[in-house]
Amino acid sequence: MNSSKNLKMFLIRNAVPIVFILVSAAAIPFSQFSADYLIQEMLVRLSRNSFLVLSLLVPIMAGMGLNFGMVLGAMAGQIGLIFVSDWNVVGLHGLVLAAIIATPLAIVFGWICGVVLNKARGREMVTSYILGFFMNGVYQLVVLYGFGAVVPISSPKLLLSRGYGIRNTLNLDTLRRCLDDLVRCEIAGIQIPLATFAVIGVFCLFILWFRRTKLGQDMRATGQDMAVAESAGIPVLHTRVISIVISTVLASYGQIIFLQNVGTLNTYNSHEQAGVFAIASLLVGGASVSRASILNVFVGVILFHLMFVVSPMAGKYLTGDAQIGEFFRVFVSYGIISLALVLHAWRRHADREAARAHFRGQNSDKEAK
Amino acid sequence: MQRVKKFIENVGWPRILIALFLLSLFVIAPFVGVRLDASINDTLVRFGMNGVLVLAMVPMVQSGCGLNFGLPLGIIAGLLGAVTSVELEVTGLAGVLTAMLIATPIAVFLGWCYGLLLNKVKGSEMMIATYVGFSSVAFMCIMWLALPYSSPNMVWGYAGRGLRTTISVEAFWQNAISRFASFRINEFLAVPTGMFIVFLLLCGAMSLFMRTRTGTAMTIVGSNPEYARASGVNIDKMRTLSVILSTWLGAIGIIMYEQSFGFIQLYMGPFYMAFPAVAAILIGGASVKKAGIVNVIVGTILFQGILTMTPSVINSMIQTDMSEVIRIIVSNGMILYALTRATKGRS
Amino acid sequence: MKTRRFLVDLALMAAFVLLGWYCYDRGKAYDFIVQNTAYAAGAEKLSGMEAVQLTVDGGAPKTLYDGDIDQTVAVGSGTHELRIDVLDLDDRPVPGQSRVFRFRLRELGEKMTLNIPFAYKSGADVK
Repeated sequence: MNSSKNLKMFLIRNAVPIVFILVSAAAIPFSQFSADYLIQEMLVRLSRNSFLVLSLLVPIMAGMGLNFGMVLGAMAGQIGLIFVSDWNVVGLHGLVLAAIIATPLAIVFGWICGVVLNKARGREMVTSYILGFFMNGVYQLVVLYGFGAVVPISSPKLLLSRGYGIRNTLNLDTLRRCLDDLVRCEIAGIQIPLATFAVIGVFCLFILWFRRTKLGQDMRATGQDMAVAESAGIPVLHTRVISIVISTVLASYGQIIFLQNVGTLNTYNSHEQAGVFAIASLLVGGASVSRASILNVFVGVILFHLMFVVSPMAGKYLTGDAQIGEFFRVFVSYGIISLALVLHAWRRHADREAARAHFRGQNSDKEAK
Repeated sequence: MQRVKKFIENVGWPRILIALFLLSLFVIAPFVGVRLDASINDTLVRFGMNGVLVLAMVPMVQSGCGLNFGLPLGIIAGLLGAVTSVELEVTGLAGVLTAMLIATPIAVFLGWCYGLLLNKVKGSEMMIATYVGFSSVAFMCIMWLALPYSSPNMVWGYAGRGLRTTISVEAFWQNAISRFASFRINEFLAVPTGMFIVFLLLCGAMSLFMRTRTGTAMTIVGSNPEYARASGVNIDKMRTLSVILSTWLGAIGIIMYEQSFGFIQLYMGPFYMAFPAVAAILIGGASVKKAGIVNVIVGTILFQGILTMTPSVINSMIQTDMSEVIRIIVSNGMILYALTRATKGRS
Repeated sequence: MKTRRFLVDLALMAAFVLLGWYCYDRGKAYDFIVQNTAYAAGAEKLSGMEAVQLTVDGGAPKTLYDGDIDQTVAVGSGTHELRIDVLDLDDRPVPGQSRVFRFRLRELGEKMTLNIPFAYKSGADVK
């Protein structure tokens, strides 16, 4: 009796990853990919994307919901890479330097984001979403018009033919895979970028440690209930801003790791998808807007990217049209986020309605106003 | 002095600043080589094109469902109507009316489903609306390829099936409404009266509706749900009605847009179309909880005016094409501003 | 308490800046030209070497024939090592004829060129 109720709870709670596993399992045979290829692809994508998704954990802890503002961090990371490319600093040194340049930028962006979100309490997610677009406009303004004109760029191969503005595509050959290839390891013909995973591992430890620090506890309290936290003396507004700052800085590092694997910087596009994919991955992993764990991150990245890789090919072989597969992938990405958001909101709403009905039922003679 | 102060407080500094900015752009225009009459023409046209889409925001805001980021659903209904009308090769005003007639039941149905969904997620409507909108656009991308349309004006020439990304309506009903009762002032300036008539009619109809019993019930559901519940108003039904209205207006709106623009944009075209409408109504003074006809008209003029004038003036001044970037910054900046002004008048 | 936090923040920032400067210094790549051509400076006259293999700081080797001029890369500031191996007819390094030439980038002059025969002559034998 109890176990069937538990099973039901488990299914509802993890509806999203379960749906995903089913869809992927159905699609894999259609896509005609070999197991070897898929395992290698998933490893690469894990090493590439996990950091970005992990950066979303901190704001969720602080009750800020899904930080679409991580796009700002990605932009900061990219600006760091542009400078490093221009100054021709190569290899791991270049990567670290890019991170160092990106950090103050990301702190400023994160600060702005945090302050704006505090002003839009109750609608953090929509606001961070729009803020991402807005900052994208500012980023384009600076990078497409300011770089080369106001900001000195010495290397002409980075600039557009008109003399100012960064090119659409930057080759990151000098930095390509410098972290991935640092410690090479091969098992059964599958390459494993140990160094990158080591960095990710360190980050996970950092998160676990952070949860226990005073700041971490403050954030969790703020996330649970702002009013209670405030009365307990926690500077809630400040804590919320800090959570966004941390997330943005980490997102900038994550974007740098992502780009060193890809090897090419699409100056005006690379960051746009970073936000959507990271959030989709997290939701697919079973996280909700108010609760997310490290397990959600890794499960989510694997499942989301599995679907991502498999669906275009499956669509092509199923319907004879590769385009449909592409669109299917976009549809599932956004549909999954909708589904997860709906489930979360529905649960929250149902809880509140139940509480209110209970309240009203008890106090039927005095109307609660 | 007091009355001026009160006026400023009511309207709000940002709106006044934007209006002044727009005015200054019009003043500067001739001095930087931008034709004033052409600019006014463009602004008027864009005002008519976008007006109804902005109007679509009103019902849902009033009923407490927030800003309709899921406008793409209504747009899709309108697109289906438009595409079917072209398939049937109906031209002129009849073509537009056919499109609207076909779009209406689709919009009502979609709006109803959408309304049911939103009722289950009270409190997080805006975020979910955005993603439902995106998912439906993505889903329709698959549909546009698969649906059995066959008109040679619309399908890919090579494969013979699957709709093209952009479909021209020049031969069918471009400017069918705009041309109605329009008059030309000079070579660059023609007033598309037809569009204004339709737009103002719809505004008037909305205004009247809001004063009826159902309309007031809708507003109460948004502003004071407890009182509405106590008065015996079915909250869910009112909210669903507002969503249906909004979706239907979205369908009509996109058809108006297309007849002026001259093209039907499928696939990813409608993806971001909710945002300019949201920005416009917010500039017009609406908040997340309250929106009126005045907000729609003022907002559309200001927003489309800035979107038309800023790029052309700045491009002429600096000799570069910054229009896309400026558009992004201005429209999203406006939405941000409105989203952060939440605290006033919160229940 | 506040001063302590301030000092810690300052130290962190300093560490960051230092790390950044270190990375820049160690990581910046400089392009320079290597010429396997005749070298004449005053009394000295050296001819170009028939076939040599160049390796900068243990990187990827480059083969230069007599008269070739090519561009290569040195990473970081400070002293660099250019290893020159003489190649035989099969383009394999002849054992015992390798030399290592140590140089700083500013010694290459404004045009950033390094003449190979000169470097070979000035280099130290590899043990």
